[in-house]
Amino acid sequence: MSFERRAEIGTRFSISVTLGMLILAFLVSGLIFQLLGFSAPQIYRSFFTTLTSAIMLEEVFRRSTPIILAAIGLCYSYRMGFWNIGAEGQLYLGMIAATGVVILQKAGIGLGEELLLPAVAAASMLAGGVWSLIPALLRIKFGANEIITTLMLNYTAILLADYLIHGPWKDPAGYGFAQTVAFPASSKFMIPGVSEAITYLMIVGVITALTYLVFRFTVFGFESRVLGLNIFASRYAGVPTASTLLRGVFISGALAGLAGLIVVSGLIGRMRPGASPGYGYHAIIASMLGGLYPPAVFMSSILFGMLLTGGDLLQAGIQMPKSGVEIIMALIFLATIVAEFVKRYRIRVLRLGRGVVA
Amino acid sequence: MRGIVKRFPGVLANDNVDFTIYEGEVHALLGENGAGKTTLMNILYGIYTPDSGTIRVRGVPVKLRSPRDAIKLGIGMVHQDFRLIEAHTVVENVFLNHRELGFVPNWRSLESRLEELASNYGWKLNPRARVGGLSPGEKQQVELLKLLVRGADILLLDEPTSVLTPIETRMLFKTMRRMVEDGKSVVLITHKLSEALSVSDRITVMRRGRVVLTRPTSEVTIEELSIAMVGTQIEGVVSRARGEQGEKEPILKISNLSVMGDSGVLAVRDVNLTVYRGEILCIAGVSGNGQVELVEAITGLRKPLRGKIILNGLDIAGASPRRLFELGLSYIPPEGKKWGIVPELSIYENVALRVIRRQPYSRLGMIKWESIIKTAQRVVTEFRVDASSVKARAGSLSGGNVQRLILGRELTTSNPLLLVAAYPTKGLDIAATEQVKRILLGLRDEKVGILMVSEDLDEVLELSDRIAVMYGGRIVGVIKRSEASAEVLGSMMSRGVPVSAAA
Repeated sequence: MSFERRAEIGTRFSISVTLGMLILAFLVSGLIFQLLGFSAPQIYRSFFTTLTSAIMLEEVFRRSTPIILAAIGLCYSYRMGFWNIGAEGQLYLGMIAATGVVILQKAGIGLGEELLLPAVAAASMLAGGVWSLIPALLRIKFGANEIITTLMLNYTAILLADYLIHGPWKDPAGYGFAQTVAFPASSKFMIPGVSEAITYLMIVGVITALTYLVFRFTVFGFESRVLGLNIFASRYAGVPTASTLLRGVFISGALAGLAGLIVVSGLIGRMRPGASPGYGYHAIIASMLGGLYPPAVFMSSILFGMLLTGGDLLQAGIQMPKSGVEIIMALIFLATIVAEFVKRYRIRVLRLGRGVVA
Repeated sequence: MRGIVKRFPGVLANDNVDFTIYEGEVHALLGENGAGKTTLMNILYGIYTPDSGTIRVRGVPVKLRSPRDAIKLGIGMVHQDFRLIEAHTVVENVFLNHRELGFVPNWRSLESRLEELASNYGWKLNPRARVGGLSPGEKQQVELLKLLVRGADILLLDEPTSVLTPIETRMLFKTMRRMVEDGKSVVLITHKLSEALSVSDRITVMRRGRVVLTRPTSEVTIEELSIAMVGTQIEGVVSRARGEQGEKEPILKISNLSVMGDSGVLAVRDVNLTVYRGEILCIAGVSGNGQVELVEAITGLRKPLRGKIILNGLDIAGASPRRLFELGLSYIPPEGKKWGIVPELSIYENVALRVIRRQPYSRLGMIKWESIIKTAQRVVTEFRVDASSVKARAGSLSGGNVQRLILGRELTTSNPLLLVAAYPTKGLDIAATEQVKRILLGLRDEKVGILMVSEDLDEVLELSDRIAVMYGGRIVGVIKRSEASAEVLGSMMSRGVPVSAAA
């Protein structure tokens, strides 16, 4: 048996392979749940009920929002060949910065109530962006592998958040709970007359569309793709390697930071330990599943929002542990990898005696 | 091996090759990169099956389906890149998948066997050392041991010295002589003349998939070898030089240029060179003598250490490739698929590669794809790039089409004053080669200065108006095409002896 690289990968072929693998992942996870003593049909049904009522659907969108933001951000990193595993940490930095601004505001040192939203948005994006520049600079200066550095910085960020929540930033009026002060209504994204979920959906929709346009029509988007595909050709073509990388990675981190802001200001209202159930990691899988193509990344992130919401239902309904959903996510991740392989290689069984290329 | 033919898509890698190895000899297989040496040895090692031809081992016709068959016949190969498990120890690597390993290996006895074998060649290898911590020379010894414990007596070494220090190289040569004394046969694949001459008993030279010379080492001269490697009959090549012309207008002037190589030694030393408008200046020489580094310095891909590069009156040393392109320097890089295009992108996106920041291709950072597609269509038709559409992936093109695409892009999107072409016809078939040559000659007639690097002497003699020979990082001489003769070029390329005789 041998594997041959395909010269041409058709779009339709590519989409059907991904969808096929996705279905396979669901079937396999159903089988696993069945073997564990749960009813697979009931589990499938739960996921689809999330799409049937307006309330459930709003929850799906709410939970999808941070994933979409971080996953769209990751498109910038990944298209440049910068394997940023650090969206989770960048997201936490966004939370920390936003919380800091709110605490200052409550202490009377701030820009005023009407400027609170722009202030927290700017702070969270700046913090996420700068945090992501650390591994980018380490790679440019010392050739440090970004997979390792971004991953390690996640733990640093999470531990920093924990320290602040348990220590100096603990809400004095919080009855001893480990949490910070609540975010005031003026720090929330709100479009008058529209629900919270629809507001978020509009924001992430615009960001997704802009990202699509950046890659399609701007010099920066084109050069980041060239950089990610062929470092030799990009030097020859004169792509400014370092500055393109820094810009893309900054955008990546900034969008993760913004995701962090939405988590603390909207989804849970304040910072708590474990405020993110791993949105930054879900975003990695979502961006891969979407093939780094912004509209598809948007859709696959919504799938993850569905899984998280459906998982909550199952936890409440049939006492399926929270890790059950993680099994599905892990299988989706594996399916994505297998799909990529199937797309790139043609599997060919050689007849004996034709010589096997080792 | 007789009449070996091996075709790869677009290339005839081995063209009716005869090759014989005698017992107890070191046989050097010499040739430039891409001459077909490694392909031939991979066939003998069972990695490739030849399209036609026969292989006899000790008189018996054999069919080699895999390296396992080769090993059974006592043929072993050490590849250029080591195939070792770094986290395992020496003894574990050597006996991996060896039949004596058994289910529960007796490590102690295996270790002592290993030590005995190693000491036979004067190697000091600790069988329990982790391979990851060994020097390249020691790793090579581990590779050799792998073959020796399997009883190999025909050893094929692919560019074994490329990773070694000079001292390690000398040790390896000693080992090779020792092996030959034991009645083994060694094939040394190399592109370095000096190595072939210093260690071998016989030398076979390959060029473009053919054997051009096989002779005992004592009966060849270094000049003969270098001519055989890079070209054939000098007198038989018809020059297409433009002939004498009146005024000479310099377009590129290089003075005292020194450039560092990757390994931290000077690759280009104090080079002085001038290219005039309307001429083709070819840099000839055995590859690895600083040609690539020189070209990279001129085209902005490598920072020069010192010296001046004056393009049309402007010092461009250290300028970026993009700036140089805008100043009128076009560049055909070596290995088009690696340097010149992004295979995953479409043809039109590849056309945009160098000009994306310029009007009319983009404005204020926004790309105008319509104008790029229009230009791409022009490139494809005018340079006869054989593609279904400009939206096809550039990676699906053949080598000749890639090269035409690169040439077309460079010439359509700018009006070059100077064209630097590094190995522009390498790997192309005859028709594509001729087309590239015609394009270059046409540019020359339009008064473009052309600096071309080639390791193919026939091509150099055919196209050049002047020839500069590089040796050891220096330009050892610049001669007119009319002054070129086998003796002159041979002595310059092989020893770096500048010409004094040629007036």
